[in-house]
Amino acid sequence: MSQAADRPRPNPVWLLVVVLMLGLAVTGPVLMVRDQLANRVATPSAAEGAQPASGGGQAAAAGGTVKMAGLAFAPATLTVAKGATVVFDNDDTAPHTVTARSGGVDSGVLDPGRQFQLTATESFDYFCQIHPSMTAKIAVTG
Amino acid sequence: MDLVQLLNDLAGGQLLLWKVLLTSVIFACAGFQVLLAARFYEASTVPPISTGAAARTHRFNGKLTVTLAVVVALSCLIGPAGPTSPTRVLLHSIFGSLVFGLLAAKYTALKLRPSWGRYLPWIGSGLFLTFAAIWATSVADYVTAR
Repeated sequence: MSQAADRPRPNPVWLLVVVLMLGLAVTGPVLMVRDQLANRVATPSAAEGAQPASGGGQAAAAGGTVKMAGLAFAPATLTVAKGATVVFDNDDTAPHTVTARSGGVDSGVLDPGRQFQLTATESFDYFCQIHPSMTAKIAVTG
Repeated sequence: MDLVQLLNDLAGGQLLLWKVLLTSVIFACAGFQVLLAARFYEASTVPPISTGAAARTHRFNGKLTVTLAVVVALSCLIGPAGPTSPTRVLLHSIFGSLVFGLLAAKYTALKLRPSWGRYLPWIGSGLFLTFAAIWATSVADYVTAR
């Protein structure tokens, strides 16, 4: 009998643990590559869901700006008239998203220094997918 | 993304804060692991316990550390993982992935390939340094951002 044959077979549970760890190790890079590819494809139409305020010839009501800084949206509630332009300005050191809880609005990842704008047609609560503790609201009047 | 919402709701709307706290606990546990390993390799007299007790504590503390690390990693992978900028986020992702590669190597050395045992101190040291880098690229940033 060879030494290899005498060696006790490893517990399959530990094999599974190793596979799980390797799975976690490769998932991050896979997501990074997927994100890069998605950004490359999405860049030309990034504002599609945002309905840029300049479009449509509609007179924009007084709008507002939401700043992202210190892992928070400011102001926490921005009240604007229907049809107003709302600009989301990432002044933070971290990337953020503007994502409506009810769906419909999603800025995608906004790296530091980038902006996102939309035409407010209805009130919605939103949050940052990267930092879910960041929450705020757009309140539309009129 | 609803899963992230669920996690955030479960965390009382403070998911990020919980992750910060858990990451700090993991980092502390990783440091304790190094001390315990140094003790049972008889390279140190701290903590002042027997080498057998140090080995048992090392195993228990290791399981706790890995469990918490998996929980935090999953909450990252189903939520924010993906962006490669700014550099801090990229480094955090790299170190977060590396730590599980090192854990895979460690479990392989411990349970599947005993002949790799001589590399365990290096793998363990690498794990501690990687956990430190993860902490520095997340918690430190969170604190300074506040």
